[in-house]
Amino acid sequence: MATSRRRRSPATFADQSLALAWGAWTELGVSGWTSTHADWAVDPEPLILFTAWLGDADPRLRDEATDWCVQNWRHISKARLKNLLREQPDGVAEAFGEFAATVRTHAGVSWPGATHPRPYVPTGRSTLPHLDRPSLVWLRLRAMFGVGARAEILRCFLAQGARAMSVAGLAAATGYTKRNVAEECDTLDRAGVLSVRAQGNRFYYSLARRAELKAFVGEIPAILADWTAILNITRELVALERRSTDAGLTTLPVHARKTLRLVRHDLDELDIKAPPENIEAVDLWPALRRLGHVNLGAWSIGHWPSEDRDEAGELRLQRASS
Amino acid sequence: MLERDRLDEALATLGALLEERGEAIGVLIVGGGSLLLLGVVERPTADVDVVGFSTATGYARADVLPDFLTTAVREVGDALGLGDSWFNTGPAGLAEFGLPPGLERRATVRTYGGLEVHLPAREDLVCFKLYAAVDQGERSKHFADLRSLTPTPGQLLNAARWTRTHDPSPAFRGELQRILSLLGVEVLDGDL
Repeated sequence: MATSRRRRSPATFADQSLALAWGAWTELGVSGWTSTHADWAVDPEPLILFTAWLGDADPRLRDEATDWCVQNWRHISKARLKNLLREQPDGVAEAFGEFAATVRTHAGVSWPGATHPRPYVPTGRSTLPHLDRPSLVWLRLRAMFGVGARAEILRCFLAQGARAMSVAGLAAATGYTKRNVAEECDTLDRAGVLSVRAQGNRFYYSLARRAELKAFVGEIPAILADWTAILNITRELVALERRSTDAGLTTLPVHARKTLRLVRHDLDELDIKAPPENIEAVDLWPALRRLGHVNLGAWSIGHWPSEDRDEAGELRLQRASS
Repeated sequence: MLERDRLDEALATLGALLEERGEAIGVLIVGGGSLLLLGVVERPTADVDVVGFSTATGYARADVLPDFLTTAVREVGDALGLGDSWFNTGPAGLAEFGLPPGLERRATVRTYGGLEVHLPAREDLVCFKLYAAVDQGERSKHFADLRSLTPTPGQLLNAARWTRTHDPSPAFRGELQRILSLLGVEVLDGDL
């Protein structure tokens, strides 16, 4: 049974990444020890890809996450997995190939990029909690509107406030194709759920009845994080940390600079200030380590690094998850 | 600009990166970088000038860096704040008419992981610097570098003869004689 208590973040990025993944999976119903992410809306597809990448770093997490997927694959979007996978580095695709093949072996579901299954016996310990749990709001949306672009479009609008979004922006944020998003936006517009305005040759959509939709969807947690960005940053920090211990330190500045370039877009997405461009050489890794410990350290225990709450009690730095 | 320690750090990082990737290459460098690494001058250098690639029989002219080296150079420059062209093939044309005979036997080799840096011997550096000093005059850094090498009259004469293989024109010979004279070596046309 999961319990809630204040925790200190683990010391290494590797341990922080595991704590973050466990926190999210525990909300989804995986058998975990502590509840740390009850205030976070969990986005399953980026989490599945990330957990596959973690792989042997925590075999129990990998096996319990696999168990959850075997039992709950109906709640997961194949199309979104496929589209998110395209943006991931080769190592993630390779690890996910085995994960997907293992799920296929035991659930009969065909996920993209499946390769060869690993030896695995389902644990049967995972459940899917009732979807009225705030952290499961995005799965709740899928239960209401179906697993597909429609639910993800609404997720984006609920997560990112009143800002109008183009089809291209929504496609990037949802992990669905522009064509798919355009069709669903048109349907939602006809139903009066979205409103649209044309600017040049582009259409910008926004929620037509935000308050009604929020009331219908039910309780939304405080932290509506962009899990793709968070887990991209986490993965790269963990990889760099491994390199800092496995390889000689001579080339570490080169790898630190590459990491910084790789995560810059994700840092922007999360409004996290990147280390200044003029930081170089031996100062690069310490700068990234500081950035990681502030942010990943907080994420790992279910906190947002800059919990700047507005009058309504919602976090200002929340971003649409994708 | 690269001071000696920074240059050494950059070459060590480049060599380690190449080794990490299973790549190896030997380069012959000339110019300020070689003088700095050999301790002949203290003046920081803007870049490292690669003139040749080490082969079993000597050096092959370095017109362009191979892709794997270009990538690594760019990454090291980015990480250490040196820019993209800190390690380049700028004066590769120097080898067009031949390097000083026997240079490969006299060169000092320093190994940085997957990178071998070949540094010409003092007498060969005198050749390169005399050629550049004649081209750019006594106010140039090359003339100052030439003085720093404290060449003997014999080394200067040998160097002068080598420069003539690169430029046999009478105008060059005149300017060469003038520069040699500034260094205390008087030569007749027939000596060159």
